[in-house]
Amino acid sequence: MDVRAHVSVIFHLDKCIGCHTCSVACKNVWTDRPGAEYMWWNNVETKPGTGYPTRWENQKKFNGGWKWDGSAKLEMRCQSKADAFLKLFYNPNQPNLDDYYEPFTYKYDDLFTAKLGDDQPTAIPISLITGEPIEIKSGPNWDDDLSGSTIYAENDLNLDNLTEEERNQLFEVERLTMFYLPRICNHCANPTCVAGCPSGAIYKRGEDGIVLINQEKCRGWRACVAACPYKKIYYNWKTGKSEKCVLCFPRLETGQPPACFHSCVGRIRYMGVMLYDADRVPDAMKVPDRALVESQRMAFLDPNNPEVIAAARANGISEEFLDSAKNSPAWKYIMEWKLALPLHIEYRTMPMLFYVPPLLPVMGKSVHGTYNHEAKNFFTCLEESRLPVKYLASLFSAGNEQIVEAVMRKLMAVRYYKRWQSVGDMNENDVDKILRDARTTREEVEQIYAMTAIPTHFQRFVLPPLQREEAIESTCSPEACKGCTGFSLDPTFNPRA
Amino acid sequence: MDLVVDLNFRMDTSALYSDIVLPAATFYEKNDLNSTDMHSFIHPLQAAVTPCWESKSDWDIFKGIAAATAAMAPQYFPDPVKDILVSPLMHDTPAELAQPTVKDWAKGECDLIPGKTAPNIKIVTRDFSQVYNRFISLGPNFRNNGLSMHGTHYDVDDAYDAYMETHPTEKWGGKQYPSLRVDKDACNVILHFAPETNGEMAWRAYESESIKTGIDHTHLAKDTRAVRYTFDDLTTQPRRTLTTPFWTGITNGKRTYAAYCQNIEENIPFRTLTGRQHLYLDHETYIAFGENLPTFKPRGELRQTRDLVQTPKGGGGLVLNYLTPHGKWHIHSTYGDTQRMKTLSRGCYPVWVNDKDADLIGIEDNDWIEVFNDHGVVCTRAIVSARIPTGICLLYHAPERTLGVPKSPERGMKRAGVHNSLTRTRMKPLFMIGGYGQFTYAFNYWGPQGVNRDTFVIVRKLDKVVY
Repeated sequence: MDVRAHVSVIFHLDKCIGCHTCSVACKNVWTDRPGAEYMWWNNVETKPGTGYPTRWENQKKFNGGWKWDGSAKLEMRCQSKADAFLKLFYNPNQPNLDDYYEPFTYKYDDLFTAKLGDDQPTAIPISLITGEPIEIKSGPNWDDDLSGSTIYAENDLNLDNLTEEERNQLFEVERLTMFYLPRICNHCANPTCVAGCPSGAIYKRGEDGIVLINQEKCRGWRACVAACPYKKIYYNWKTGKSEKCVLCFPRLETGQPPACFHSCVGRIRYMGVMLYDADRVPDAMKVPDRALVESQRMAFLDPNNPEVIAAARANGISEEFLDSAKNSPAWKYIMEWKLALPLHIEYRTMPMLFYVPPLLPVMGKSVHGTYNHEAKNFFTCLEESRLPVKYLASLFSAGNEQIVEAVMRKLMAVRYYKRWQSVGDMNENDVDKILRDARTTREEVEQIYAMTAIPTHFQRFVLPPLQREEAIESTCSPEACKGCTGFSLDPTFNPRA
Repeated sequence: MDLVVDLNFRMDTSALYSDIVLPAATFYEKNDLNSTDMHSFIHPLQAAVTPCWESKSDWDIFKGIAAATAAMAPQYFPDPVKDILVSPLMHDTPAELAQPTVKDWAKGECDLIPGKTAPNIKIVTRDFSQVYNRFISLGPNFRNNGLSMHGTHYDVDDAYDAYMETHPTEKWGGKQYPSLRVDKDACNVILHFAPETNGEMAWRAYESESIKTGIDHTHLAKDTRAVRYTFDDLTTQPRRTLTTPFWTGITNGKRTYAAYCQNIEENIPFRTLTGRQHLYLDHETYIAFGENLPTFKPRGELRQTRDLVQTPKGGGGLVLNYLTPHGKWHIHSTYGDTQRMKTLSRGCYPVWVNDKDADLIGIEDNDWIEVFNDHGVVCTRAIVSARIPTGICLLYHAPERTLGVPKSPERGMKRAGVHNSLTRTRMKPLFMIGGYGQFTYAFNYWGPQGVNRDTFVIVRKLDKVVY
C-alpha cells in the first residue's frame, strides 16, 4: 500500500445556477493577460451543449486521454513518442482558433474621441489578436442556455447513444431541459498531460496532487494540449508556454479555497482530502468501461482505517493532513454516500474532480400535466425522466446507467424524506420504503441534507495545512525560502545559485 | 434641458448625451452606505483604492458643485431668493385622507387647496451663498424637528448636542454643527441617528409607536438600546439592522427578517386605509377599471396596443410579441458593456427568437436582424432557441447603444436604438391616484411606476451591417 493524499473536489450540479461567477473570478485572478485572453481555466457549460472548446468531448478528433485494449498497458490515444514525432509539424489533434474563439474587445476609445456628428458614436468590436474589426462568431460560452438548439445542443456527443425517439423528446418545447457543467482541471491521478510532455515540465505535486506546469521547463510543444482529453491546458501565444488551472495553490498554501470555490454563489463547490493507493494506479483504469467508476473507488483508502493511517504516516503524510482526510466532504460524497461521480472516466485519466449529477432536470417530469409523488411509481419517473439517465451516464459513469440510477434514487430519497418531514403530505411507511429502495437510512439522509443545503464555509472547504517547507527542503533551504508562498519544487529564488 | 451634467464612471449613453461628464468613483474607491431588500445587513462601501485618474466620489463632486455655487453666489444671487417648493401628498400624513374621490381643480370641479386638492405648495428661501456651508453641516432643522417615519416621530436634540462633543464639527455664522465634510462623517451621521443602527433611536421610535397603538412595543428595542454602529464597526464585520418600527420585520435573537411580523405579532396596524391586510379597494378609479379585487388581465393584443399602425407589415418580416426581461449578463445597463460579460455572452445584446419562427423568415442563429415598430428600431443579432415559445421574441433590458450597434436601414441609416426604443411609456392611471390610504405617495412605496413594456414588433433579417 502506497498511500498518497490528494486535495479533491466536488461540484454539486443541483446547486449550480450557471452564473459564471467562478469563471470571472478565475479570469480576473489568473488569465487577464496578453496571450491568455482565450484561456478559461474555469468555464461553465450548458448541457446538453457543445462546450468549450467546441465539442471538446470528441476524442475521434482530439484523441486525448488513454485507451485500453485489454492488454497490460494503457496507451495514450495520441502524443506517445512515435505519434508525437510523426505529428511534429502538423498535429490534427490540436484544437485551433476555430475550436476556441477569436478573443475580442471594443474600440471603447471611439466613444471619447468621435468627431462631432449627426449620429451617436458606437464602439465596434475588434480582435484582441489582430486589432482589426471583427465579426463575432463564437465565444467561450457561445451556447449558454441554448438547450433545445438544433445547432448546439443537438451536437452534444453525449446524445449519440440515445435513440431517435429519446433525442426528439429532448427538443420538444415542453420537455426542454438543461443544466450547467462547471469545469476546471481535474488534477487527474493518472494524467495524460504529464505523460505526454516531452520536456518533463508537467508534474503532480506529491503532497496534494495538484498538476502544475513548470514555466521554466516548458518548451511549448503543446503535447499536453492534445493529450488532455478535457482540453484544460492552454497554450499562451505570447510566452510560448502552456498554462493550466493551478487550483489556486498560492491560496491553498495560505489556507484559502481557490478563487472559483470562494466566489461560488450557489455554494456548489466542496474541497477535501482523499487518500488513495498509488499502487492501484494506473491498474484501476484497466477495466471495462462500465466498471471504471467502481474501480476508481477501489483505489481510495478509508481515512479511518488504522492500517491506512499507519501506512500514510509511514509515507510521511502529516497528522494534520490525516485529520483533514477524516473530515473530508469529498470522502463523504464520493465514498460514504457514493453520490459524486467523475466526468468521462472512460478517458481513463482517473480525474479527481467529482460531480453530484443534477436531479432537478430528471425529476421535472410530468405525467398528464401533473407531477407524481406516489411511492408505488416513485422510480418510474426516473425511467421516464425528462433528461434520460443514459445521457447522464454518458457523462458521469462511462455509460453505466445503474451507477447514475443509484445516485438519483438516493438524491430523490433525500427530497422525499425532507418533504415528508416538512410538508407532511406523505405516508411514513412509503418514505421508509423509498429510503430502503435507495439503500439509505434516515441518518444518512439527514447528513446528506445538511452537507447539501446548509453547510458552512468550513464544512465545504476542509483544507489541509500545506507544509511547503517539507517540499522545498528537497531543493533548497526552507529558511532561505521562508514566506515564499506558491513556490514550486523548482523555486525561481535559488539560494544555492 | 439647458444643461445636462452626468456623474458617471462609464462613457455610457447618458454620458454621451451630456454636456458635462464628471468622472465618478466606483464602489471600491469611495466610502458610502448601501442596503438591500435581499438581506438585513448594511453594506459599507469602502475606498480600497484611490479613485482612478481624476475621478471623485459622488459626495466630493456634489460638495465641489456646492462650493462653486457658493463662490458664484455673490455675483448672481447676492441676496437670498424666494422659491416655490411643490411636494406630493405624503404617506403617513393627514393627506392620506385628502382625496377619496377624483376631482380636478383645473376643471373647476373643486377649489385649489394645497395639501388637499393639489400638491403641497410652500415658499422657501434659498441662500446660495451658504449652499456649501449647509452641505457640510448637519442643519439646525434636523436638531429641532427630529425624525419621522411610518407615522412615528422621535426627538434627536440631546443626541445631536452630545454627538458634537465627540465628532468633527463645522463652525460658521456664529454656530456649530456636526460635520458632513468627509464622506465617512456623512455615513457616521446617518448611522448615529437612524433607528436601524442606533438602539436608542429605535427605542424612542417604539415609544412613539406605543403612544399611537396604546400597546407597549418598547420591549422590541430593550435589548439593543445600547447598540451604536459606526462606519468602522460595519467594516470590521457585517452588522444587521436593528428591529425598528420603520420596518415591519423582527430581527431580534438572530431571527430572519420577514415582512409584517410586527403587524401580526405586535398588533401594529398595517399602513392601509383599514389598518388591516387589505384586498378590496373601494376607490372609484379602481372600481372603474374593474380592479377593486385582485384581477387577471390578459396581455394586450396587437390591435389593442396599436404598435404597428404606421409601420407597413410584410416585406419579409414577422410580427412578434416583444418582451424585455431581466438579463443574465448585466444588471440593467451596468456591466453589460464590459469586455468580460460581452465575451461570456454573444458580444452584443441579442434578441432571442424561437427556431420555428426564425425558419419562417430565414434567420439562422447569430444572423443580424432588424426589429422595429412605430416607436423605434433595434439592430442586433438573433439567438435562435426552442426555449423561446413561438410568437414572441425577447431582448434583455437594458442594452446600451455604445457597443457595436449598427445603423438602421429602416430608419434612413441612423444609429439603431435599444430595448426601450421599441416600447412606449403607457402609464397606468391606477398608479397615479393618490391621497387615499395606502395609495399615497412615498418614495419607493407608491407612485407612478410599473410601465407595461409588452409590445409588438416586426422582425426581419438585416443583410448588410453598417456602423
